[in-house]
Amino acid sequence: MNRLPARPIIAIVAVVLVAVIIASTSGGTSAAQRSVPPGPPGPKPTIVPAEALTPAPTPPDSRRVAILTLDVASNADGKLEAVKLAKGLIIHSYAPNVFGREGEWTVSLLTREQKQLSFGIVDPRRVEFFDSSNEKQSVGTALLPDVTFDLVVPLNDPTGADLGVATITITDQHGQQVFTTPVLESEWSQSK
Amino acid sequence: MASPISRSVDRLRALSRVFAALAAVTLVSLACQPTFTASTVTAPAFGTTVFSGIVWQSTPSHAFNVVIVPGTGYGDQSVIANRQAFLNDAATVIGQDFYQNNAIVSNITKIDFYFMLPATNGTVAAGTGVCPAVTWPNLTDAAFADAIILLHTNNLRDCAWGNKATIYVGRRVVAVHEFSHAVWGIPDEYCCDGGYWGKAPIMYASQAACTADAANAGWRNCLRVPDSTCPPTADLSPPNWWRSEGNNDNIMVQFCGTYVQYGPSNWVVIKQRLQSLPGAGTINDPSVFAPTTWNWP
Repeated sequence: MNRLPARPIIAIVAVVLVAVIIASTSGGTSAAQRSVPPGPPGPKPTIVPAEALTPAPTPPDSRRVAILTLDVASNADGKLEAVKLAKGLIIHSYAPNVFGREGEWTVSLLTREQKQLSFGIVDPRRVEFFDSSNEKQSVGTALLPDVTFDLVVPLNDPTGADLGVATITITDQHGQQVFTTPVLESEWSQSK
Repeated sequence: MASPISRSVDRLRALSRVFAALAAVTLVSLACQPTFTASTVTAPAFGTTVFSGIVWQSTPSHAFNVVIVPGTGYGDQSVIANRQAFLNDAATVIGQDFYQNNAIVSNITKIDFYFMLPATNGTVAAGTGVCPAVTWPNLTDAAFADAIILLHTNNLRDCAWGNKATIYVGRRVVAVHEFSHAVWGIPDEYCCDGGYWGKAPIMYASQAACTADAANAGWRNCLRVPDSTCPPTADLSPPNWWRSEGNNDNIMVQFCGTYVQYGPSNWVVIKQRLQSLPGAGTINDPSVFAPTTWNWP
């Protein structure tokens, strides 16, 4: 009785299986590649179950952000008096997508090549509040006299390229410079 | 010449090598799966407190990212049942607010949701000031976030500072309203004590600037903010800002009811922000604008 040799059969089966697996993963529907057309889409995505703990990705490259903890003080009339740096920290992290965003205040980044980048932030003293009872909703804002807030500044662009940020400056809604600091690489790069 | 037994052993060895190779390929392929279907580990990895919730982009810089933080009402988050309760409520906020906004849903893969398991939950407690007393956990691991939400279960006033907001799980609309300030950089449009800044084609510092801007020609009805309330009210004095959408009630207004959708002027800015993402590709226009309602079926 003629029998096919076992090894070639196993090899063929393995190649087919590998090809099927590769095809199903590389050409499939990665969430990062899917797009949703306008209009009623399919079922709503569901959040992961509580047992599923996949840490947020860390950058594969050396990209970093500076986190400036700033104390903002106003006088009795609510006029801005001072913005002071309480703490600076540089960490390895992805950055928020802030460039191109506008706001009441403007954060300007001056690079070592004298190029200027900027993004807007809401006046850090401003708090917006919401109440609701039954169907009625109340909304408004107020300016707090003294606040401490964290300003996250990208030191790399979204592709990971170093922006070479040398100076960080903040101007208020009146165009007045209220804060400036050089980027203190060594001092801010110490551990948390 | 090999015996039948040794040939069988050889075949078994070859088979085991094939299965080992297949197992390796399978592991690699699973590792390449989107983070939307998360693998299970028993404890948070050292050095991080932020985890994937609903994530479409494997690289955070390719999306706008929201990090949701548990309040004290959710208890010890190392207890699976507590964490599940928190995630269920996070899903409610995402589903009832974010996923009821047609512009967001039309570009759903550009907005990712993460959750934080901090050493100590955030607190929202009765306070003596404008807002409740709020304590945030260490947010360093969430430095990449475009918006941070502290989800709480006590029905106290919600407040937002910069890109951070407290959200009572039973309160609608607030999450997307605050997200819109933080991520799109669009101003308030309600009267009379909102946060306003000039942002064409939404808001202008003068009537002349509003009426002269070709970008708002499609819907132009330039009204000073106090005159644009819904319903129109007597002049409430400042602010001297002009809305291009007149008295159209959108999610940045919220004066006359609960409106979930953006107006056409909002969308101009939002589209620009979406297009600014690396590898943004096609940005889908929403099929409805405020005040038209829309529900994800």
